[in-house]
Amino acid sequence: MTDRRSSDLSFRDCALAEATRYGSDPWVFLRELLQNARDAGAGRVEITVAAGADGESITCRDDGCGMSAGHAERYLFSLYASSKEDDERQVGQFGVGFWSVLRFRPRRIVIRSRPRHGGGWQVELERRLESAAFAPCAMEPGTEIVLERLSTDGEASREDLAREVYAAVYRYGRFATRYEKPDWPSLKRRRERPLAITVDGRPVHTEMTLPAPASVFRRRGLRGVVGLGTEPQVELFANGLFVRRATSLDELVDADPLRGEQGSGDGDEGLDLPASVAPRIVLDSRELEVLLARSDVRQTRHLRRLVLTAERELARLIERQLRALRPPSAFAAVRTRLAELAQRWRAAFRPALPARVLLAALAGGVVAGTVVGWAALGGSGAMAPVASVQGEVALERYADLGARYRGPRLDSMVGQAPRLALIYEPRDRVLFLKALTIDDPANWPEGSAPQLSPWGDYAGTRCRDPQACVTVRLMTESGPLRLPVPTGHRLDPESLRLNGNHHPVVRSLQGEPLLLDAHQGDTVEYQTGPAPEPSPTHGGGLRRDVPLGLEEVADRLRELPLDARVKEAVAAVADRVRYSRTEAAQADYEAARARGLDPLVAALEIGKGDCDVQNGLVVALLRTTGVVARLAVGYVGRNGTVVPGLHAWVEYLDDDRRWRIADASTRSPPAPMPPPAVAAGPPAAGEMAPAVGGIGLFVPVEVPAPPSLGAPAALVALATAVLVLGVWLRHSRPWDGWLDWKRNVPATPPHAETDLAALLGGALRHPGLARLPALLHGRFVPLVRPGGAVSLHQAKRRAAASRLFASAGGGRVAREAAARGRCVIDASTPEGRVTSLGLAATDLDAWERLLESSTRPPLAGRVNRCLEAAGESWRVALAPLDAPAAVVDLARLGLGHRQVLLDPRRAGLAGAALEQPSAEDVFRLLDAAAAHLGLAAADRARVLAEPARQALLERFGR
Amino acid sequence: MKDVRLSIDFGAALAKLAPAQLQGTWQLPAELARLAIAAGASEVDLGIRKACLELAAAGARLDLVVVRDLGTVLDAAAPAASRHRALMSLDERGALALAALATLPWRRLLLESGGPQGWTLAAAAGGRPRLRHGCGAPGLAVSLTGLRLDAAAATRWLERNGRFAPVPIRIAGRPIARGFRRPLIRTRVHEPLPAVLALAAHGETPRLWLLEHGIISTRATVPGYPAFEAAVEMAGVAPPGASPAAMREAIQPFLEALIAEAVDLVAGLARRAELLRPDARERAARLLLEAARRDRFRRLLAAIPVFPTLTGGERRWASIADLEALSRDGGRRGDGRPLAALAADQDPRLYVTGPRPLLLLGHAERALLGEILGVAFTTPPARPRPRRSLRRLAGAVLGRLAYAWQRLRRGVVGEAALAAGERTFLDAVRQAGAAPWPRAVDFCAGGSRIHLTGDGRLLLPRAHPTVEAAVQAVAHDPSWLYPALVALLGGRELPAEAVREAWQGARGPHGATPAASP
Repeated sequence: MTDRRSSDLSFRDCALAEATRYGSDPWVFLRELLQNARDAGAGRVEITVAAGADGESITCRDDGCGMSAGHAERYLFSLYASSKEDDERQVGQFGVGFWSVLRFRPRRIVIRSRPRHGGGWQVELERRLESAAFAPCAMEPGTEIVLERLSTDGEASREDLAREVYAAVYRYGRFATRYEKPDWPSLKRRRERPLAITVDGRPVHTEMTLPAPASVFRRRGLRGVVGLGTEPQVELFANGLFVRRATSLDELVDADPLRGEQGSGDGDEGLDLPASVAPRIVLDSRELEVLLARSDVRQTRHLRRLVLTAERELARLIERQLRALRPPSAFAAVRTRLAELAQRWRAAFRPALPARVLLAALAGGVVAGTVVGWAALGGSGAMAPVASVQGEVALERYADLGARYRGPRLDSMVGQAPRLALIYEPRDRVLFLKALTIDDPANWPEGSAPQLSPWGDYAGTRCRDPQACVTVRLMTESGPLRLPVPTGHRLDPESLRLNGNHHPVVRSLQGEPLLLDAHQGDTVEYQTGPAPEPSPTHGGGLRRDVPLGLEEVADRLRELPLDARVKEAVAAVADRVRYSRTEAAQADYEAARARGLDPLVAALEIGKGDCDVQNGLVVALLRTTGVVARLAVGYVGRNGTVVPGLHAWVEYLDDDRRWRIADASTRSPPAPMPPPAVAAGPPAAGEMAPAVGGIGLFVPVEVPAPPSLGAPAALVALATAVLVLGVWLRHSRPWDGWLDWKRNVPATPPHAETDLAALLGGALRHPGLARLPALLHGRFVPLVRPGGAVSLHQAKRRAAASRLFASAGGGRVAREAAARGRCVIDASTPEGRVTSLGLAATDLDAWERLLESSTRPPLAGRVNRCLEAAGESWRVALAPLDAPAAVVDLARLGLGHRQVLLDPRRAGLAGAALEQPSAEDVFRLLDAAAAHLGLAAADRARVLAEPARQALLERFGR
Repeated sequence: MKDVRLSIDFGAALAKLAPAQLQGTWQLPAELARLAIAAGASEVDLGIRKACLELAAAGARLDLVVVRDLGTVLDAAAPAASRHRALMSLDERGALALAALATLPWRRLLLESGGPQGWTLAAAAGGRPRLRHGCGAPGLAVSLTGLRLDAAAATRWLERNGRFAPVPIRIAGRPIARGFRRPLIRTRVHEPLPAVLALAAHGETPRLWLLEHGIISTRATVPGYPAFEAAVEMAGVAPPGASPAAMREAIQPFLEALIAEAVDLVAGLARRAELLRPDARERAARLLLEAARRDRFRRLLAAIPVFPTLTGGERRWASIADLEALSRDGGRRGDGRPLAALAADQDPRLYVTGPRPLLLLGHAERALLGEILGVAFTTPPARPRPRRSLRRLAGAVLGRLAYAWQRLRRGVVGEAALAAGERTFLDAVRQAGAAPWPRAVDFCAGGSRIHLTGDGRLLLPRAHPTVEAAVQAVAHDPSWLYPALVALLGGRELPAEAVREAWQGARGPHGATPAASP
């Protein structure tokens, strides 16, 4: 075996060499410190800056899991060693990041740390970085790094240093996140929370936003925001920490140098927007793999997915912006959508003829299957409805549950429950909002309600940490109310506002916050924050009697530690009592109850139950095994509001006296318990929708009638339809963005019109932009006709046919042409101006000016009579011109004859000729006009023959 | 508490240092090619298979220090300090490929370099590497067996990133494509950095391919400038083995100069506009206009004639300055007439073209010119469609018959028998070169109808009032020949343009060319 340690090399030199890899920014070490704190599970990082005559210092303190001295020796003080190599959720893994602190040129480095379980220690590293002396240290769990150096600039103030540090931390870590374990054991996904970073107490974290118009998106493992600005910029973050900046999405992904040369140019490159609406994009993903020193990210499918998603979101944003500016008609929307589909189809199947053939065959099969299946079912349209999600849910004001809850019992599924008028912030958190506490569900006196009377002062908490607190707002019914509070939280009495006014809150018997005098329609708002159980005895005591059939389980559980005990209890109940709310299950349950069994035992007997029954059993089991537990009844909150219907879950007290959640009903999906106050409609046969993310979506789904075996093709067709619907819904997720400048940039004037003009101009200049069907087919080019608009596509077609006109003044000619249905662009608008310039629309204002200055003296009258006699559709007028002639084609506008305007001075026609013209004058004018008009030779000959004869005869005839 | 020494985990360093800088193991062949080119290879041959990687680089001479360092790194029995020092040395020299060899699983490794100071480094998995001097084939040869390599990905990566290598690279004997494919124009520059610049037929954003020893390391885009492609050699500017971020940082001071070179290239392409295909010409004009949006480039580009125009039916080329002058001549919207322009797919023959140039510009060019010069464009009015009546056709046929009949019936008057005025008329017709309408003129007796054959023969009855007036008019003033012939041809045809010009010349300007559209 070779010694893995090389002890005779200079640690300092190697560490310095690695530190130089991190680029030219001297503050890059702050990012590495943030990364370490994040990887240590910190929820808060405090950076403080100090400067004095003797030097400057930066202290970085986090409340993460800390390190033991052994851990530090093995990993921190051993260059390249990392404890995070195998943990995909950790960002750091190269074992050199910490030593980027050497970029600060510290003369002294102090590291203090204390793990959650163990004593604290500190190490002071001297400049040579040779050894570390551990000394005990008293501190809270977490890690603290102190970097001290001599002052680099005697004049530099502490404020300057703090400003630089803040700027660097903001640059690198303003979107930093952490993942915390969910409160609910069965919720498998780790939850992403902002990492609360402060510099000298000033918070750094910001929401991932951009000035409007912008669109925020979030997908599995990635998030970002796309916007439109004046300078193109893309910022890439991994786990919320900055990696690199680019000027386009295209730059982020590995590309073939030939790309764009081989292709047609359309679709080969990303969306290239004009500079005035340049894309500004911030992307963050927890799936990215960074290279050493975070110089770049690996070209993985996650990166490609991120870029692709951002490109789509950018296109979506532009489309939304366009639609917001000019809402399309239903027809235009459908046409745009079809154009998009056609474009995607072409993009997807351009090269692959076999794929096209295969898909066509599949489509044909599906269609044929549908037809056959339809025929097999009789073709009468009597197919059973399938998966029809019920529509809008009515809002219900919040009323106390005490009078409505009948205790743990199995109820069959009834109609959909109304949605409660309750919202909360932050919206991205999943909450279990408890509205009613059942201390001992096994001994619930049926039909009674928990006492609803004041029981002294409510021991609340103070919400100081905005990241951890929840703000709840609800609309009430009248009467005393227990206020819903997330499990593990307590209400902040100072924060409670009833119709905007501070209002006291008292304690109920079960310790719930009680609002005594609410009236119907009142609005209540309050904050809650995580807090331990204040009452040392609360929990309703423990049980001695084990529920029938669970004795063995109880014996086994008593041997286990708390978390394992809860987990096992949940599993034991879920194994024995399957979630069911069918009518048959209820009938069995009622029959068991009729035999005298109590509610929970009856559920055990039939092996079926709903959430309060299952979790009631868990509570009973836990309480007999020494765990302080109770049943919580309330609402599940998602996306800032609550899911319709009630839910019941288990609250148990952990070693830190914090209430935690367990739920046996999530193995089989939870369902709303029908509130008795809600009139139950005729019960519908039904099963529950599958659980999503560990939480039941309380959406009843009608079950299709059993299909006929003779119609398998119909099933295939239906499955395809459901699949398509699923894909459609997946892509139709709610949009989180803003197009209104007022939303977050109050100082910025609206540039919507300008942006649209820039987009249209860009679409004319850059063929790539025409790939946006919404831009090409949306009616964004305003017409002179009030309310009229045409699409760029239509305008191009008309321009090609020389039938595109423009007017900035909206004069008579333009108005009358517009009234006759001609396409007259309103060039007084930025969009109209850009389009008319780019497409060379005929300027009707110029025509109008010409016509206004034109005259028709007797000479013109005689000429026009000749033209009329010859059956010509054009006429002549005289006008002062800066050219020999001009043509005003009123015929194309439907406003009369085509006018040829001639300048009499240039034509050499004197005043007498105008007023008393000879036949020779007529011929000369007509000849000039016909030539200017560009008449074909034969037509000119025909028009001129008679005037020429007249001229000859008048002058030389006998 | 205790004291601990700060240490270096050599095992971790060995395992991490190179892989942490590579996109994947499939990058190894490209890195070896880079190494060979840096070592002076004149050509590089690679064999990339699933379990075997071979490289032969003619003319390459790898520094013996590098080989010794590699041997030390691979020597599991060597002291950790030495191995680490050697690894850092490889890293500093940018020999990423060799440093990566220390972490990849392989069975046999053979490095050979020929010449007077030739050497061979052979190593087997688990064994000590052996370095022998004075042997080895000419050039540099690397053979790696027992390697687990995604051959397809490695080949693809090398094909993509080795395009701009200064020497030919072959994979399994097949040369990889080099340079930009079918650029409109390309040039090699040496200042500010060695680079190949090209203008492609497609693309909207300038792209820089940053190379280290001819192999692409990373790329950057420079929005806001005309789309160009540049393969820039960064060796010597960025430190050996610099990270992509360091490369992008290192190019920044040279961007302005590179862009200026690219604009020069655009100017060069635009100067050849007359020789380019229409699509290439349009692309060149667009790139020129994109560059001209920046004031500092406009002076350079303003005089280049790249925009096709039709002036009096003749194709000419106009520059930005020409268009600016035209726009000053009343081209701005609201100040006068916009400039007449047609797109490439519009036939100028169908439109009324005036004395001013008719521009033949695409939408993009118009939009950019509008932005740069503030000039407005308009489509010229369409010409009236020629009338094609059956009557006209029938007249032409019948006219010939009638002419023949009249000649038979009346007889043609010989020139000797003509009056002086009539002979003057005939002379005027012949001198004016009025053919083909009329090609020949004959006088006959009587005063019946004037006859014209389909091939331009005109038979004039001497007593016809119009004929008499025409003869008198031409005798009085030869310029009257034009109205005389127009009248005598009876609206079926026109005399030659020269006849009309003579008429107009005698009476002052009348505007012989079609009108410009407002």
